[in-house]
Amino acid sequence: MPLLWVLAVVLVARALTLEGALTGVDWYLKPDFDRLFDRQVWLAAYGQIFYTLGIGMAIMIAYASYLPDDSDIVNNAFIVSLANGAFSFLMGFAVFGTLGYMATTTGQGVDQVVAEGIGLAFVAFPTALSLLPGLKSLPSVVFFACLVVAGLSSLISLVEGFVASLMDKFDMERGRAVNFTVLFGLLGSLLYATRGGLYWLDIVDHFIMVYGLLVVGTMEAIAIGWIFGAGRIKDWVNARSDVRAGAWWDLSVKLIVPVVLVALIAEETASNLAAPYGGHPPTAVYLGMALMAAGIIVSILLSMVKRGVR
Amino acid sequence: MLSQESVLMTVFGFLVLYGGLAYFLMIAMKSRKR
Repeated sequence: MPLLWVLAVVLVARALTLEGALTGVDWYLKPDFDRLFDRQVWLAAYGQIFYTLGIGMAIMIAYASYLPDDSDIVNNAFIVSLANGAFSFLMGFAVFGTLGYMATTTGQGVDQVVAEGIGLAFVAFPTALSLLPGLKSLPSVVFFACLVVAGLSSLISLVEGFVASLMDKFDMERGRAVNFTVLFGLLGSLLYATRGGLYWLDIVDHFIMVYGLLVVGTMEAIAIGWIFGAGRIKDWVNARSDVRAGAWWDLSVKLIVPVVLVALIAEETASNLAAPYGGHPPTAVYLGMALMAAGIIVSILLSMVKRGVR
Repeated sequence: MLSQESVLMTVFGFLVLYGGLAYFLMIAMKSRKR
């Protein structure tokens, strides 16, 4: 991880010294406050932060359960969130600096280069790396090796959320739980290796990673804020933390988060019913919705299974 | 050249994110809690 930070700084420095880089950075940072009223921006922002922090995927709950009893949870939460934001903000300079360079050298506008597709970072980073003077392909090899390690560690966290649940719920040994999860994941992922794989990926990604996470996030906020009690958690956490959660925590978990998430879900549902997501056939969209609903129903049913059933 | 608004956003972003991170890391280093 420290090596990735060093490489990130090198990448940013290189990207910012490219011709036309500032045009890209200007495009990245020039505020357009009208977009604050755009539902899609909020939906994308929620999806992004849920995804990068691993919220609503059981990762935080599984990892938090391994922390020592006297952990400063509030401070740890601030550090993780700010480090995530800080790294993303920094990498934005590398991506958009390079995009500015690409736009300038090809005579296009930055918006045209940006519109060329998803996975833009995978175009921008190799370009910036290939432009590092006198080092040939070494920086690219090191950078992408770091990215592979970072990707694998993210994968481990995703697996861990599921594995920890299996171990706790069914009293399963870790080895068996991991094997089951990986095999189950492998079989499910085979769908993405078919010719229609990318369409499936888009539909599942939209309904599970954007839609599903919003639903899970809402349910978690209601469960913690209203059923378990925001005050109970706050008292427990504050007794162990140097940084104390104040009234903002109650307000946030009980009102702001559920209200914003429910509004986003309602808007998203209305737009999905009005026109199928991404121009896919309606059947595919209904299947996506059914997949998401099935996931939530299975989760609720499993939560009713008594702990430690063999 | 960067517009004045972009410069302000850059300063704001670095101040909030890195300033905030430094502040909470400092608290963590002073504390004996993990």
